[in-house]
Amino acid sequence: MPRFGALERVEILAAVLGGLWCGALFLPWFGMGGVDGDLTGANMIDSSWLALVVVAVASALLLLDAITISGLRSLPIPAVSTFLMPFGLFYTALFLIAGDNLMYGAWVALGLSAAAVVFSAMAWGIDRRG
Amino acid sequence: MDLQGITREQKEMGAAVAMLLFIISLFLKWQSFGPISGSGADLGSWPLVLIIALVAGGIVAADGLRMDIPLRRMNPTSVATYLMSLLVFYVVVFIFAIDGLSYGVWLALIFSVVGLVLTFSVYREDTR
Repeated sequence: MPRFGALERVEILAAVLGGLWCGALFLPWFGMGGVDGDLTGANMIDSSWLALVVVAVASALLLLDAITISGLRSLPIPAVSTFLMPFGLFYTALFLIAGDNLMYGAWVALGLSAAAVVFSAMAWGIDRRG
Repeated sequence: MDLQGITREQKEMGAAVAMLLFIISLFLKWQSFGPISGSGADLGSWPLVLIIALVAGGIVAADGLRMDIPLRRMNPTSVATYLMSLLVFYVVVFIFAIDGLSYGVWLALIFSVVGLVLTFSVYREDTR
């Protein structure tokens, strides 16, 4: 069993939260009052895949950095992920502001994306301090 | 295009103007699809984007005019660059989502990208 340092633990936590946010996209975000089922974060608009890809890449980079894939260190992974991760929070906020009849999925996504941003920023901070 | 011949202040004022034009483009026609047409301001989330554009434009304008910006631990141009990248993301999300794209959305894309490029160029100078 590998022993992870503080940076790796925070990176794994941020990656897991980002991955869970990707899953939360498929939970119901808006109730349609029994008409046509509920709207998930993914089927609200055709371009939800964009936010999904951005957060998935950020999470994958953090995870790969934590388990030390050689060659990745030429990229400042925590900084890149801290840049990418808030796009998920921004996407969630856009629809929280725009939508009525919010359901639990939207709030779960908001919590997960906010936590993922905080932990990826923590990883960046630890990385900068060396 | 060579951005090196443009002074830092010119880039920042250019980015601020791009943000102003981006805000105007929010009120132009983004969609024209048969009988359906709508502006960027018909999207429910437009107030959030308006605030982001105002803050980003305000930061670069204030920095270009050599005013003190109350951001203690952060480089103001890095904050503005980040906010403008969110605007580009926003426009791209709706370009892929909207059927029957109209001129307003393309103008919004152009102004957000121009603002981002100019501000990023200033940020690169700061971090060198």
